[in-house]
Amino acid sequence: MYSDKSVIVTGASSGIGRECARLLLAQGNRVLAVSRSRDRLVEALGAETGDLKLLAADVADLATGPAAAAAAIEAFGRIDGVINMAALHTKLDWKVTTGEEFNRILMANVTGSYVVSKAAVETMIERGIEGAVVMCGSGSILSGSPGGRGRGGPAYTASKGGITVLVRSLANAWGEYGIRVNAVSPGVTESAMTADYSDDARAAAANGAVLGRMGLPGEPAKCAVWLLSDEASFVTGEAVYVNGGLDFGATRVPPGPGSRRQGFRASVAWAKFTLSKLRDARLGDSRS
Amino acid sequence: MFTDKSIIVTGAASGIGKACAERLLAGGNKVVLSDIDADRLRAVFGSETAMLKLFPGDIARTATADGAASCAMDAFGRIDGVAHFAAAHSKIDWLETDEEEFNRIVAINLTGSFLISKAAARAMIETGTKGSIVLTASGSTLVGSPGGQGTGGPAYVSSKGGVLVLIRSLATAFGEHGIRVNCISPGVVETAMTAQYTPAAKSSAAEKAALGRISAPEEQAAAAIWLLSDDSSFVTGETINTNGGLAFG
Repeated sequence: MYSDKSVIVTGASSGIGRECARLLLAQGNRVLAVSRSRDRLVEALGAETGDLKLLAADVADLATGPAAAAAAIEAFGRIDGVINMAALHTKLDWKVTTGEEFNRILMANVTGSYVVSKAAVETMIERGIEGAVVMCGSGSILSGSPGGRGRGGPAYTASKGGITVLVRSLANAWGEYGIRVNAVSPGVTESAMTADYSDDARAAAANGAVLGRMGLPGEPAKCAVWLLSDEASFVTGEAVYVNGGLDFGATRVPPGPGSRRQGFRASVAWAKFTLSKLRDARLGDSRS
Repeated sequence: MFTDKSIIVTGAASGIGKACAERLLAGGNKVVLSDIDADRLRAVFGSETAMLKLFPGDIARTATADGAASCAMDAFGRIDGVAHFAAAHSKIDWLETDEEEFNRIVAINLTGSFLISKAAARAMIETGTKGSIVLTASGSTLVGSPGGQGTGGPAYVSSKGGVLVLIRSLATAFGEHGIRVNCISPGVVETAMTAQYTPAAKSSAAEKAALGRISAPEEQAAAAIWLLSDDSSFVTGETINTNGGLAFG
């Protein structure tokens, strides 16, 4: 039983992050809950108490990590763990994913998790506190989801792949301080992020999982709290897939609805269209 | 809190199995304990009680697996889970490993894992019990240990590699019945099996782990019990590497 600890939870106003915060509070822990909107934090978790402090901040802002660590230390005097659930979803496929969009997703999902964890772990090492960090991976890295239909695209899957490797690097770096770093990697979970999945994608996700359903936010949350606890004392650098047996590391996600040939024809049509736009632009340049 | 369940624990006379059985009993669960060493099993756990039944035997034999499941059904009327740790170590390298040794290790470690899973799942399906089966692989599958220094050789790592894939097949087959199948994949643990390691192999294992140490059997048992519990209700076909960051995979 994980209790009487001081934990930073990001993405705490909805979905898995909210469930993590609720579970931690119910078990008698102190929580610094981080989300971009204070109103949504209050709506999700209630007003501040002695055990619950709220911080309205964006993890994509590099100042948020140090600010969260400082707020937790000020309120609780120590940090024992971090759960990074804040993440941006992007279902855009490669055709519409620009470099700016790609960076926006990496910034929130990877850099954000890194900076928040780093700031917290610095306070733990300083005080000799052995604890744990949990980040959020994704089952989409196993299937190589191409985007479209609500499912994660290249920016999202790359960011979650980054998290899966980041936990290994930090596990090696922080192991000597007795600090463990792991990822919980949800499959398709009922949350705001998956609310915009197409019906097809939802049915495919439920049918694809050997348990025949989508996950509930409480299920990855229970895994995250387990990974924080001493019950997982010899688990580090690991990604635990909480996906109901959706993919065992190899299942390929086909690139779109319809037959593969239709997908192929659509891609050819798209390529011809964009090339003609480029040609028009060049012609325009040469005329001027 | 994991309590009031009916669980079969194999390899229960020592190491991770013993730690797991002791914790399940302390938590108020009913257990059927199996081990090939009947004397040691009785020496460790004493005589049977209403919560504790002993069914020693060779897990590579169908009669042992089926018998342990029948014992649990007769005594407790249901099976909620299996924590399967029974395994044979083989530290010899490829030069010394012959057909007989290879088959012996695969029969105990891999066929045994299948037989106990099948026997328990049959009872779970019959009673409509949404149970959980936890098998045991090994971190040696990630590092491809060649044997020879007390660490696992080709027969051992192959048998444990088979477990990593067996859980996926059984998770897929049992999913519609709500039965989950997972495994822990321990790194180096202080047990009779690793007592055979050379001191050099042991200290190297500790140094290579990110946490800088080898583990206690209780730490491995804790991961297995989490997989048995409803806290892992959406985890199936999954391997949890409990190796302290020895190798990632």
